[in-house]
Amino acid sequence: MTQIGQMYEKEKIEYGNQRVLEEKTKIAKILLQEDVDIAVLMKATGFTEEELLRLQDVGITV
Amino acid sequence: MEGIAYQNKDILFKILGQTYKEKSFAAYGIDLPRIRALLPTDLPKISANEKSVDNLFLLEDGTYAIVDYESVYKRINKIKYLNYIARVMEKYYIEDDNFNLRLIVIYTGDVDQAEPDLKTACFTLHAEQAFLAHIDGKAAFQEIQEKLQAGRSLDKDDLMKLVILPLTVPGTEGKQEMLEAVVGLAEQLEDEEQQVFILSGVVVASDKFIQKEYMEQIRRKINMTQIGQMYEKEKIEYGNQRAKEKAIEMARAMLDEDIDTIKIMKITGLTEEELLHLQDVAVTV
Repeated sequence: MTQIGQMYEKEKIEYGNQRVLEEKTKIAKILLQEDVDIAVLMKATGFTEEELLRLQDVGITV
Repeated sequence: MEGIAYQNKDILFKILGQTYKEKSFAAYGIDLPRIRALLPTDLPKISANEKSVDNLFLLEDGTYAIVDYESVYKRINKIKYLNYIARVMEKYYIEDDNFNLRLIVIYTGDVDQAEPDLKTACFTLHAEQAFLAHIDGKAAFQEIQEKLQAGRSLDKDDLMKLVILPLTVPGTEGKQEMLEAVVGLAEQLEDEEQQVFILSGVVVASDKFIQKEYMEQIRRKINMTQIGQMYEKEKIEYGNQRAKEKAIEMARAMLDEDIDTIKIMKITGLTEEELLHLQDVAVTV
């Protein structure tokens, strides 16, 4: 693949990864509000406990 | 890298695939039938440490043409060409009873002679060579510029010539200067299709020496055209697809944890049908 082609592909993949993270975060936040067990949340979202607790804190402060 | 598409997903490949059609190599001094299609260059068994073919074309007479650009002549490159030939044959020879193949090597302005043949007792390899050093790049540029200034439109040969003009100049600096001149000229064109062909063609042809920052500038120019919008659309579709896949993966995990289906629908945005399908798949697996 050409350098410029790689540049386009890289941008596309980064955007895809960003969308995945947004989706994961959105769903995790809703599940946190629904008081779903943290172990279930970790399994469903792939987030670590620390990341989920941080999300919860942000949720509370927001 | 995860998700890197092969070359026929390359946005520039798409542009060039459309715009190379019906063009010929006459501008480079090579007598070939006109191009019918630009073929993918991700040939089987290409190892990670080896560069792929620069271009692979299907010509109007049904012949395949490997095109490789070189800035130096190396005797050892003939092994590389033989590998290309073997891989093209693996992909197309079996399915094409009238298989025929030509090897075109285009040397940049840094090379003015090279040995085209490799003769052995069991085979002869013949490369059709074009020496861009034999093209007076500055004169060609001036001629095309004057054509534009006179309000005349550019023909296919002019476009093909513009794409390779930076390669006609020896040395990296000279190439970069000519590249900038060609890009400047492309920007003056009213025909967006021609403009995009030159911008994308010139960066693909100049890929080996182009400065990354300058390439980024050209990319931004391409992004402002309809092709750029096509790329944006493709990027957004890809992002949405990845997000949906993630939602499905998470829904599956939630189903496993016996979370209420209506709640999962609300959280993930998936339909009942999609969730039932997921449940069915889980049961059958």
